[in-house]
Amino acid sequence: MRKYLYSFKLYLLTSFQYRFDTVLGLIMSNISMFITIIFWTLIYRSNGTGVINGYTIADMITFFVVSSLFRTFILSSGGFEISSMIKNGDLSKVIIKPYSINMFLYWKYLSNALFEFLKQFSFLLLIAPFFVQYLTWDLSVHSAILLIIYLVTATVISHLIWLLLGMMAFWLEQAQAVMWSFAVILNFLSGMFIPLDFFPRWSVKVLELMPFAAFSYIPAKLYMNQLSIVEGAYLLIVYILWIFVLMTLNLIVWRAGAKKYSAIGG
Amino acid sequence: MYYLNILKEQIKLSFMSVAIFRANFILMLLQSITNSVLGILCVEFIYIHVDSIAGWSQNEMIILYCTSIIVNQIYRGLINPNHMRFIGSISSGGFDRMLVKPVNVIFQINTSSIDYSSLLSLIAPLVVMCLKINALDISITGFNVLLFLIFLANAVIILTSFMMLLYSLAFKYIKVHGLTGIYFILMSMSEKPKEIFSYKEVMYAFVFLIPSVPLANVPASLLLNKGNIPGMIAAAVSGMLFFLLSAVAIKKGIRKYSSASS
Repeated sequence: MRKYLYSFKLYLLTSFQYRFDTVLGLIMSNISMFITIIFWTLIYRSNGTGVINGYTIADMITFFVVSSLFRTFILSSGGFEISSMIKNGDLSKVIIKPYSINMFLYWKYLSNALFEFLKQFSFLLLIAPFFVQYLTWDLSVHSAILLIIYLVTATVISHLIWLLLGMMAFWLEQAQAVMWSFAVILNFLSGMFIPLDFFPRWSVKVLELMPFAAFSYIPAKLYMNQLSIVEGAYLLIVYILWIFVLMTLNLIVWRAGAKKYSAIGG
Repeated sequence: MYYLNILKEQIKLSFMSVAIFRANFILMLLQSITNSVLGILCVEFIYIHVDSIAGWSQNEMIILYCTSIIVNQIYRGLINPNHMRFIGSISSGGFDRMLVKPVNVIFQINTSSIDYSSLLSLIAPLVVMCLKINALDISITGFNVLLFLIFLANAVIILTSFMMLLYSLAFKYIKVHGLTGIYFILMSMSEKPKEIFSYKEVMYAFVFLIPSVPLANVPASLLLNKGNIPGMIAAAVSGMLFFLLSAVAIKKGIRKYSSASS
């Protein structure tokens, strides 16, 4: 475990080195969020209603602000890294080393996620005085604990999903194209563009049981106290079951892929 | 004729490249179509709960969204791969080769590779747009369509010129890949109705400084009989302005350019 924690610390320190890139990325991502918020403000204003589908304007703004914060814990880069390792033959150098590539990538990108979270959180704190009246703050101690567990769960689920997709490179020459296609669907199904409540009623319950909902939609609902502790705990059990399913799938695909791997360029 | 022959050869070469990487082409095509369809679904889902947004009905909003996708896909299909090659060539020194060729540099920056998957994925928004136009109560004349096409071309010119203007910073800062984020922001703004800008001054800033309004709002409004002459003039002036500015910026940049490889 010490070696993974050491890599975690090392990559976290590396993240702090590229300050210009950090600032540029921060501005870009927040402008996108700002546009979404303005758009929703327009929707509320033009309809002359205070509540749409159970969301007040403050709820909607809070949803997008906290979602942007929670989405920093989606670990997708591990999948892209393993995909390029397989493609260019670098995997050969890694599999002979005395550590698990899966764990190594998890800790590496967890450090990145933590850095992104701190960055985004500091930025939001900085601008909070300007929009604090538009935010809802209804977090209980129980919800806060559950929320932290959810965020940890989201890091594991997202890492396992992306790793699984990255391992498609064992069979496909252009696995990254598959991954980008999947990224679009995943963003949609995780409620990045609109909260899942806005989807047709019949699909909401199904989507909530899918692992993508754990990334930001369910944590945001917990934060806004729109989900009871019992419901939250029930969904958490479902997502933990998803972790076991994904771990098994990862193991099966890894074993099958390792047999197929031919170390091109290695 | 000379430039037309060059374009013909570029189209042929890009097609040969597609024939080699067929799997990648199909996957990229699927990704583009999925992207368009999911975006349209988002609009549909919002309208389950509201009747109109700032005077835009569901069908009109989808037409606006599709217009934005069309402009985006034309840019991605015809221009974006060449802009990426251009900024890469400045840091690698490959820009030298562009300078020694007996072809206009601005022409070279904007043409060469064609991404056929982006162009083919235009089918999805075009089909949806036709269906939505059919479902509208208003009558759309041939003149509306003509104006739509003219201002669609103007939108592509604005987007191309604006991005070229930004990428000309590569002559000074070398690595400017981070600026691609502005393109995504611009496209995200263009698919929203111009009414998101409450003040007229702010709206004009998004015509002449960050040109998001002329990209989809102006052509879609003209198609839907919602356009006005000041809006058309502003969009046309914005197109000319950005075209001239980008050409000047590239020329100035070339004077500053010192090869990275020598």
